Amino acid sequence: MTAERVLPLLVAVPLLGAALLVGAGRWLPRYTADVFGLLVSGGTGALAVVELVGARGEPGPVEWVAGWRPEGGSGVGIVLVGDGAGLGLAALISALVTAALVYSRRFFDEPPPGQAGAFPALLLLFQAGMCGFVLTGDLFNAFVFFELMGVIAYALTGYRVEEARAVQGALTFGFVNSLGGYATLLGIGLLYARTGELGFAQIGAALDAAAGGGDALVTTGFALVATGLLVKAAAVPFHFWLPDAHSVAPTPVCMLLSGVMVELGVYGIARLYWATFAGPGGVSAADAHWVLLVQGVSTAVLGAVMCWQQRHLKRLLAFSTIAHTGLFLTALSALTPEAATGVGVYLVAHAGVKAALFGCVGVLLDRFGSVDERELHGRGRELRFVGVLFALGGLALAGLPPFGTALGKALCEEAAGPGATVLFVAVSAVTGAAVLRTAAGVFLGAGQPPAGPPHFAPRAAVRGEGKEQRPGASERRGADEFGTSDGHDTASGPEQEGEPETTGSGEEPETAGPVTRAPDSMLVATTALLAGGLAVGCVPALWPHLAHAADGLSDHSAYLAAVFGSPETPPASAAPSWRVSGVLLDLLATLLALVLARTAPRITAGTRRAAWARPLRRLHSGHVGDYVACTVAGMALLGLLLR
Amino acid sequence: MNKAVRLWVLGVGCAGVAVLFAGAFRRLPEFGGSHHPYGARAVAAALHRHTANVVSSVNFDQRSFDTLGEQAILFGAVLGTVVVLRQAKDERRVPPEPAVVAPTVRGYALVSLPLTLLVGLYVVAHGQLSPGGGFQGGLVVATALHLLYVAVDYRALERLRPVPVFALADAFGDAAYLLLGLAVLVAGASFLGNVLPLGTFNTLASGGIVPLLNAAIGIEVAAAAVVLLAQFLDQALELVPRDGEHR
Amino acid sequence: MNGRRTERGRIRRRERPAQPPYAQRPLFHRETRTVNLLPFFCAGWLFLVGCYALATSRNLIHAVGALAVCQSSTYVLLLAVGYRSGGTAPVFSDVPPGARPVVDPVVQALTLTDVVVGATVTALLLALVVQIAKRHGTVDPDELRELRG
Repeated sequence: MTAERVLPLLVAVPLLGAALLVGAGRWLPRYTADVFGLLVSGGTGALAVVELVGARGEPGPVEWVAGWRPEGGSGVGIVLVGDGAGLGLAALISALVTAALVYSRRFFDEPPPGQAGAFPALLLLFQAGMCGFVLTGDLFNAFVFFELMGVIAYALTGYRVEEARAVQGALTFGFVNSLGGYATLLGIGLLYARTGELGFAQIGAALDAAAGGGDALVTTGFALVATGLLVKAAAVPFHFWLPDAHSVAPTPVCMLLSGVMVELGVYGIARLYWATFAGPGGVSAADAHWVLLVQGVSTAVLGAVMCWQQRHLKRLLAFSTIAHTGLFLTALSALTPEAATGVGVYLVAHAGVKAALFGCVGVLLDRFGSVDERELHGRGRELRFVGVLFALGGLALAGLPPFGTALGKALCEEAAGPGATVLFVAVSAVTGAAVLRTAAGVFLGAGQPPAGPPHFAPRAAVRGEGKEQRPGASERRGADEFGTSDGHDTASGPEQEGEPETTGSGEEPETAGPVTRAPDSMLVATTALLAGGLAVGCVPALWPHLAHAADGLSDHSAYLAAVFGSPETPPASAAPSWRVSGVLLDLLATLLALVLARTAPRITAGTRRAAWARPLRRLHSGHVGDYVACTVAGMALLGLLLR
Repeated sequence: MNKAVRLWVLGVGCAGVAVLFAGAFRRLPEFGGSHHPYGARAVAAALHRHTANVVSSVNFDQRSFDTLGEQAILFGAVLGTVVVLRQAKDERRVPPEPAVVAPTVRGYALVSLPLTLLVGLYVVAHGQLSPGGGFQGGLVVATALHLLYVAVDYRALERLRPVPVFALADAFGDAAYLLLGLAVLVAGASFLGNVLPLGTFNTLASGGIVPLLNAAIGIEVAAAAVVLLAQFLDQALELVPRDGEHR
Repeated sequence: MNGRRTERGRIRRRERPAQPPYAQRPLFHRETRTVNLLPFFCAGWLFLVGCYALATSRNLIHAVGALAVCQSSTYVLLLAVGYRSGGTAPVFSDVPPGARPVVDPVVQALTLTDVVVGATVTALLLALVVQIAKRHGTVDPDELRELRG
């Protein structure tokens, strides 16, 4: 079996694993199902690594599924491209899925009856969807895997059906993402009408052959396809689903959503632009630069501001993911191989760090039944090791060398220019500071404790006037609301309600009972993830691989040549390395984060939030209609920017 | 956002998207034109592989990897629905009530049940020859079973379709598609490659791997639709709040 | 068989002028052109009207339906793109190959995939709506205001 032939297995093996888990779910004990899931996801990851190492320095294997290798330049089949970026991301996805499976060993002691393997099976399906998305060289096939990722992600987000908020967040996620997916499909239809092709490379070649250049049809096609990807990447104003989904999803699912699925949107944009639209018949580099810059900067700023305002820890981390996605898009707007390398390093390290941070929050949730910053104040003193991990994660987000995030940030700053450097330092400092502030409050008890005991403010009267309520549920709902202690809550009507905020208290722990100490499986997974984030910055052997992957990703003609069967090696750019200026800027960002976190308890331990950010907070209304309206407006904006 | 602001944002957005669409649609090739390069190639490839229904050839041979993802979506959505609609901690099951059915309805449904089942199986089996295939035929088969719910009541349907068996069949159909692909790979060709004898054009045994993949999809779709509908029917007819009264 | 047709198509492509055909065609000069755009504008209209319904919906079940309307725009667009004047279904069990032009089979296959995707997404979203109705006691999005800020 050649390296090419093996490529489809990266999708087929997890799918088969999921089918077996579901099929045998009635007879499998929980433990066997978990171990089997681990073996399948880990095995898939190992396969990706073997393929990656086997293709060292070369453009990588290209497989026409079912043997439909084209004769004479144009074929009918689907192509899988195992280049550095695709295989590398497949390995990253598999590593994170494996970590999430280890982490969830003690989770969900009540799987659906007769379905012991349901949760691992869903994770394996998610892995297959993501691997398919990164490997495929066909636009419609990418849409199929995009939808597979989406469907599984909605189900995973709503996994804890007993929680009122979980099902709501999952539904919002489903609506916005599906709408984005359909916009993508409309774009695919337009591009097919023009070119009569569906492959990234084939469409690109057809566009280049028609000498007309990018007219309204091509730019609209690009805008529509990009809409779906930007929804996935949670770029402003398509981002509203992300905090809602992350607030309610089980912790291992948050790890996967924030760690890699959202970033696949960024990858998708990069792949789409360079493989298809970077030629003379596509979208001009100036237009693409402008779109990515506007999207990136606005996303980064909004993410940082909103991150700072949160008290729900998962939501705080969710907004930090938005901020970092904004940074990735900003760096990508330089459209150079160096920028792609920087984003690659940043993205891989961020995946480990962010997943580890979610892991820490999951431990807090299971120990205390809350992820609310104020309610947890000082209660984490006993979880010293988790506190250290959480603080290290915060420092890594801020950009403390030698974490990989710091290296990635330095490389991105270098590639994106001085103006962007200010943004990178500020945004990473603010998101890092938000995590550090929480770490100091929760694990050290720094700052003032919250004023007075949180009182219950049953908001059922506001929300469901006259509605029938299930007694069992209303008790839980009352508990959900305590902590919203501003006293405005009794005002009626949705617009007059008090602080627009989501507290993190009264959450259902995800384990059977509250854990007395953090389970080893959780700590092992969390530590390994953080170590992964560190390794990206400390293991120079990884860097040439990342540079090679970025070179392949950012070369239009090399991609076309690889698909059409005459692979050429793109000119190799220098492997990334630490520079003094980058280290100094990283240290500056870390210092800023520490200063901000130090002053923070005085600012936020009280009950009032910054008034100036209130309109922005109101915008995140939790209302599906608002989010859809913003998504449609975002599509129009995208088209406008491309004119 | 209050309603007025939302409508403004939406209105501006829709206007902008409409302008985008208008600009793009005017540049489209003429409606009904004869320039379909991929389509022409797909027709030639299907005829070459002795598959009379070109759409089936595209779905199960030329772009069978799309269908792989598609059936994974179906499988995942059914699993997701089973998970989301599982019996929650605060719910209990009650036996469904017997229903009174008008004799004409019962008679009609009982007569059309075997006919529908037959039509469904025919559509699955002839996917490579005539419009239809595993997806369409599978749904018809699932519909046939549910005619029992119309003809008798939910308890009769529950006796006829044990959900665990159909969940197993769903997983089996999904696995069969993958295992067929893997078997080809192990035999030395590409994953999902069409290496079987192609048979005589326009006969039941033509198209190589197409009828086999079609059958796998047919099993999966029929079973998936049954499991999916069972979740929703259970919600409507069997699950009640633990502390609630019998409906 | 149908080699003749592909051969002709190839010749036409080889002789194509430097400017692609769509670049020369007058946009709105003839009335027929406007009529010929109707299927495409129908697709655009479906998408926008679906978005409107989704954004202003007062009932989540209705909203799931609105999403399905958005999706149906993709069916219309794909099938319109693949249509060929005088073309019949791309099935050769009762039509000898090459006897009549056929519409583009690829978009039909894509549409079939799309239909399955849409149906499954709808099922999953409806399942979530069922749970929302149980947990929140309402299916009006205006009354779901827990995840804010």
